[in-house]
Amino acid sequence: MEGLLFDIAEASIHDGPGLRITVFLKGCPLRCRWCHSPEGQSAEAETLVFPGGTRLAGEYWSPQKLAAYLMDKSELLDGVTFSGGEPLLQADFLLEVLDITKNTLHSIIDTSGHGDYQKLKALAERAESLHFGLKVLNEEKAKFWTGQSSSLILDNIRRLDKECATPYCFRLPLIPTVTDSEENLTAIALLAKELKNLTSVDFLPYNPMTGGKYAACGRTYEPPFNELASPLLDIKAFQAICPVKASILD
Amino acid sequence: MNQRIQKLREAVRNGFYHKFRRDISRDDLNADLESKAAGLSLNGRYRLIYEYILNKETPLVFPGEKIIFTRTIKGNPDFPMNGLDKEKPRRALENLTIEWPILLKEGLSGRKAACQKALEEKKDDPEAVDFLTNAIAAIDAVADFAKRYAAAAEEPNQRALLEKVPQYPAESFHEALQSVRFIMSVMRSAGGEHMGFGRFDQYMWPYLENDLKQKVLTHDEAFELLEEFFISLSRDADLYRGVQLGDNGQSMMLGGCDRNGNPAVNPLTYMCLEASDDIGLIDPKINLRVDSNTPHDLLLSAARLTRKGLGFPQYQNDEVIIPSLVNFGYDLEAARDYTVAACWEFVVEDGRDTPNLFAFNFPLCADEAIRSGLKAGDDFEGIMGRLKTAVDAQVKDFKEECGQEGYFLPEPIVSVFSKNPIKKGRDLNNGGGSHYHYGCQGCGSSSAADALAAVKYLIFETKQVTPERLLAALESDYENDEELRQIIKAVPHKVGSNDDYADDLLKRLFDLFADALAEIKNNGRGGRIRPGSGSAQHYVLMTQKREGQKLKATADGRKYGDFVSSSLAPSPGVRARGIISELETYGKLDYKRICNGGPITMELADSYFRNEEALLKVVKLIQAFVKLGCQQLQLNTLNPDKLRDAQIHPENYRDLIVRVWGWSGYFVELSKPYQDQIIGRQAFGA
Repeated sequence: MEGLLFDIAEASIHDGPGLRITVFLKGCPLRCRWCHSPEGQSAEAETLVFPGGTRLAGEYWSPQKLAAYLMDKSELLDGVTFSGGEPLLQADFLLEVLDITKNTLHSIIDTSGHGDYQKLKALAERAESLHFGLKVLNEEKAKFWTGQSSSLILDNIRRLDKECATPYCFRLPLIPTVTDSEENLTAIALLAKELKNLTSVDFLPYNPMTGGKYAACGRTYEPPFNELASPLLDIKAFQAICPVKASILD
Repeated sequence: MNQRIQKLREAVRNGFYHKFRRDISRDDLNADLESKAAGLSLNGRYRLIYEYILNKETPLVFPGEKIIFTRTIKGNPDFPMNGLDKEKPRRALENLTIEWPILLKEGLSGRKAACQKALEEKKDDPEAVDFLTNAIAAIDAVADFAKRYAAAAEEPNQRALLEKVPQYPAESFHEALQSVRFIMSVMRSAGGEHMGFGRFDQYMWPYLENDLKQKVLTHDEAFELLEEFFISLSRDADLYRGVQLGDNGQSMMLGGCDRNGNPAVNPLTYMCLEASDDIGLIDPKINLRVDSNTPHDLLLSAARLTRKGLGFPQYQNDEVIIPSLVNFGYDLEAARDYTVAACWEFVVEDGRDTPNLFAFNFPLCADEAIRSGLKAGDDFEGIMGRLKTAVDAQVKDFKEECGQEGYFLPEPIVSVFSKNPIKKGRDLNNGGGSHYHYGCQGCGSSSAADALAAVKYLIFETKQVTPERLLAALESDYENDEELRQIIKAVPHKVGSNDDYADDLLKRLFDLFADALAEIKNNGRGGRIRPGSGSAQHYVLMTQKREGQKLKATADGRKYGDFVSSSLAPSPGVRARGIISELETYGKLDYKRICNGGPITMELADSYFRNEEALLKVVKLIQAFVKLGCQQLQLNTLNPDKLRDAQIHPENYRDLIVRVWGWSGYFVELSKPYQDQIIGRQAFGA
């Protein structure tokens, strides 16, 4: 089966160690109000319209083609990160890719955790590590902010932690007043205490350029939170209760 | 930067030194020189320039300064042609570097003695007598000028320094720096253009090493001297403009190997990268030679300088360049000692190559082949056959130009500080060197390959477009068929994304180009022609709408007047797959043959450098560049939004630096076409 990609970033910065390629898979079950890749949400190809021209976001690749593209560069690269959108939505495609690349490339799966558990586990078993893009842990609040309850995500993480040895980290965007609330951070720290394969909690500062691509998708960016609220800079309180290393990535 | 250095930096950026200039126009200087030049030999004329212009200069020594020289007249003279045939082409010495170690080891006095000895030996050779007597007179003019400078110095240290160099061999790092600054400045005052500093860290390090050993200098004092030297290069740089302000050729080469092939990186290599990063000015332009064994921490220092956004260092891959120079015919030891001229053109010792003499127009050849082939009903290989004819025809024009009689203008000081002119009794430009090759830039290559790929794909493979439709669109500059232009833009095969379909066409273009140039066995001066991949200012000159512009709309969807690709980069508006894929594309070229230089040019979004880890990624990119067998790389930073704002509010962006082609300049000092081309580049990693 073919995979639908909306972008590829060569030498990407924030998606893992060393020189990496990040493959962005199109389609996502979540609708985070702060999503900075709105073109990654729909599972259909779409044309982005910029002031200076257009660009098609959404290209079908066969597993063989993507594997060949990556393996061709394996001597130059430290690894590949599969991100999205939500890579779990295209798990079968990804599994095929990973079956071909096997041990040639260090692989990271960057997922929200929302999806079929067996597929998540199969991917986790083939990858070197995972990035869980956690957001809001409270189930009801998660529905409002991300379009989905958090229960499936939390179940998946807890179960995977028991059944699969692959290490993973949490990556949490610091959305002012939403994800950086004391309630949310405490919940994350408590969750972290239950888990044995969690390696770190990485916070990603809110990016004021987040809304940049909405116009190109024919949409308007209207975040129902105060973008200008002072961002969380001090995570000492969190570090004090979190059992693993926690830091804000710059 | 300590406080004193900071003040010196502010002074050059504020144009503090300009107020000491007398306003003598170029026209007045030239009129004077013309009247005095009647009846003189070419050598005599250049000697006259030195005497005349240095005599007009007023020595200026500021309290406390350690690197001394400031221009005091505004104009730069032209070579006086009185009594000569003004119709014949003139070829001045430019785009090369003198052999700085000779200056440092022998000084003016040593070279004068060598001239006198040679004169004794060659007194029956009138040409040698003419060259050597004029060279001695030029040396005297420079030495007298240096004496006047020494007399003007009030501080004893300054006076002692100026009495010593450039007249005598340098014995310390400080003296070596002053000697280089002084000689470079007098060459420029006399009208010399695009002279580089060569392998600066190699010839300077012995002096610094000795000073450090003898404890004459501490590391910090040496670093301060180096920074002062670097800053001094911006004092008068506005007087030496090439195509645009900033195109002044003050470049230097760092790193690489020695003449035996052993690694030659030394502590000064690092210091130069750090000093450049610290002062953040466009001069000197830094070049770095790298290979598989370049130390990681040196690459990290280089990456830090890349992050600074000055548009350099430019990276050179020794593993590709040295074999290609040997393959072309240079000696191995000399090839290992290569440097670059002003931008990227390789310079090998003991010669006078003219690396930028010709500019080859790839898009024009492709366009002629496509239009005539489609009209004649050719298949694609038929068009490629026509391409060969078009390439050969353009090269034939160069061949004819090679045969033209012209004046090869001498330069006595450059000749004196070159290996063999004194021994041979001939100016470097007139037989004093051992090689006289020309270079030909290969411009717009990616645009040409994209046009061919579009034709192959749309007309012959998918048959989506008829030849008639494309021809009509080209004739009307796509006015009546914007739809076709969009179809062409969507063709999946473009140069720069490691796509074999397009990249093979790029390779074939360069092969045809190199084949045609290889047919010229003698360029009229006993040399051949080196094919290159750079394009300098030609992405503008070859495309601007003007009378006689041959390049109209092209089959890559480019409209008349739009830019073509610059050096090795994807065509304007093409979104390449990514940085690594682009390196893979250009790693496919046969640099054994394409040996004149011309960098891959790519831009990283300045936001790429948000964190320190980005530096490690840039190091890996440089290593990938080496591993993939690419030749030269300019890795720049870019923020198009900032540049657009700078066009509207130039007053807020006085210090904003951009890489233009082989040089960096202040964005607000460029004319608009050059600004627009930079804004249109693709920024990776945004």
